Amino acid sequence: MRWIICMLFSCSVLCAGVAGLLVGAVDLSLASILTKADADLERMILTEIRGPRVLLAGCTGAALAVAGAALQGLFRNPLAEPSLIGVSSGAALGAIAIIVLGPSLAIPAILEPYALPLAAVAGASLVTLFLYGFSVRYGQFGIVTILLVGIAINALAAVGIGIFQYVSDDASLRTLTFWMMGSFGRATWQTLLPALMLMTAGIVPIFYLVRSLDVLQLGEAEAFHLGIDVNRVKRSVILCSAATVGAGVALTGIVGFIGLVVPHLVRLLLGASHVYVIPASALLGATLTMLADLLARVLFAPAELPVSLITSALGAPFFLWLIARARPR
Amino acid sequence: MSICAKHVSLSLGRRRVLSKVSIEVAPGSITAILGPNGAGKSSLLRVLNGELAPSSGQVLLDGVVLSALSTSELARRRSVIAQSGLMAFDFLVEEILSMGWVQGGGREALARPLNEAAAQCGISHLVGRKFRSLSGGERQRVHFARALLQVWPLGACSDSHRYCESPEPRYMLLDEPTSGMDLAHELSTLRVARRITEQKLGILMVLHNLNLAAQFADHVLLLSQGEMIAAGTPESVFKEDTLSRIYQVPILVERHARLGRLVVHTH
Repeated sequence: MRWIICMLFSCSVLCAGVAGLLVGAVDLSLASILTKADADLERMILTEIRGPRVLLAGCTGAALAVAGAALQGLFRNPLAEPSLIGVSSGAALGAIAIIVLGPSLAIPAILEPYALPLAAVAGASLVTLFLYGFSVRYGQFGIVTILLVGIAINALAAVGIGIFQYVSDDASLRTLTFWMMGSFGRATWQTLLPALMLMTAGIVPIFYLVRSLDVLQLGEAEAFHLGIDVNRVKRSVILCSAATVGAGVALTGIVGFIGLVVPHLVRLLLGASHVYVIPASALLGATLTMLADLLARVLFAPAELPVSLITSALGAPFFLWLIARARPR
Repeated sequence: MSICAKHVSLSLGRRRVLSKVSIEVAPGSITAILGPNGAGKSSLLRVLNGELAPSSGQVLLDGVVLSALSTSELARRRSVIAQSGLMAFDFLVEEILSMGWVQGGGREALARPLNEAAAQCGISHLVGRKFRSLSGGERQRVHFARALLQVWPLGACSDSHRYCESPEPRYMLLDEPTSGMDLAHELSTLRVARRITEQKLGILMVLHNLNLAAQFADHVLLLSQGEMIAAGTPESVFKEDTLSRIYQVPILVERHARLGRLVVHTH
């Protein structure tokens, strides 16, 4: 049964991807692209605009959902979501630092496409390490504590972002403002490549940690007794989730709630084992984010909504429902 | 062949938790650690299971210093039940049990031992249930079955399996394994423990119930304020004056005529 649901998720990724490629401000027809000789404009829209955009949306959705599921497993807390606990804000701060300070840092041209995602990954890593250090120092996070710490980190990141806005020149401020609006529309094959590499480098190792994440649910001591190298698992999850979130945020801005909603939906359908939760979250995360991007493009076409509006509009009520459900009875 | 602590001391911060404690658990026997609250029972168990490093002294597993063994090697040779916390997610009992399987061989190798361990612990009817929906006692029985599966005894797995080809002693280190269980399940769980010691398995458990220790343990170790007060068979350790002094209540020890073993009363 579980594998059938996973197969359905795989089909949904394909369907959402094809819909994302063909539907938009200009509807495309596969038949005309393949057969008509004078469909150069349509081909250009497909390969240069929609192609990288849909791929970025799918990969970012998969990355955020996998990072959410892995962080929830690591913290043993169902509300550990990258944007809620401040990991996305850390990534945003890193990215903004590069946008504002980049011109004065004299980064070699060959490294330029990598600087933004790497800075975002560094910011996300710092926040995740801080969160983990905090939880080790003051005991395992309760649901309320992790949200309060998230509020504090988001507030601190906002201070940092405010400072960068204040010191930035006109050109950087313009770039920064567009970047913060959050969209998959900036995707080009050139900017996509480094981000995809980072996301892949982050997602793939998490697939190998599924049993460890399961055993970790018994507690750290119990996981050690069951042969798990707990510190290695912690380090891996922190770095991998920071890499995926950072790479996603670098190109798209903060896309909220995907990392919260998707793993929960998956758990409702497939149970709690990470053997299923991680791969299914990747598939469902990709589907939902591609659909959210599609909605953002077509709802008020030709105008475009920021995709985070769609994900937050769907995710926030879900989040409230989860809090009500998690309330001690 | 044994798991043993030699003159182990442990300090946590400035507090001396254990002071020159020695204990040996041989395969085929049950040893109980007894003592009042705060005596250092759980800390001794945590030193023996490798979770805490002793400040001085040594812990050896079949003659090898514990710190020289890898985490996975340790996991194959001893299982542990600690005082566990709550689960954040809705795992099935079957999934919790399968977490205890560290012998490898995939799903096929696990199926039979899992069913047998569940049957032995009387939890076959719970296997398809969600762990969080169980009562405290039922959860503890699942943890016991998981720990049993981790050191699944010789002869109970398929002949082609590596575990059967290279038999070696296994150990279970259990911190209050029957907490939260009703009387019947407490007894049935300890009977399972007694039975599996026949298969080259040594068991060390922290117990609070002196009568259960007298009934099931081959050896007992009495701790108080981190110091070893007495060690030996229940008959040699259960002295009225010692127990009364340690537990600070008047205690009566007598050999029950019909049961043929020691029973402990407070009065």
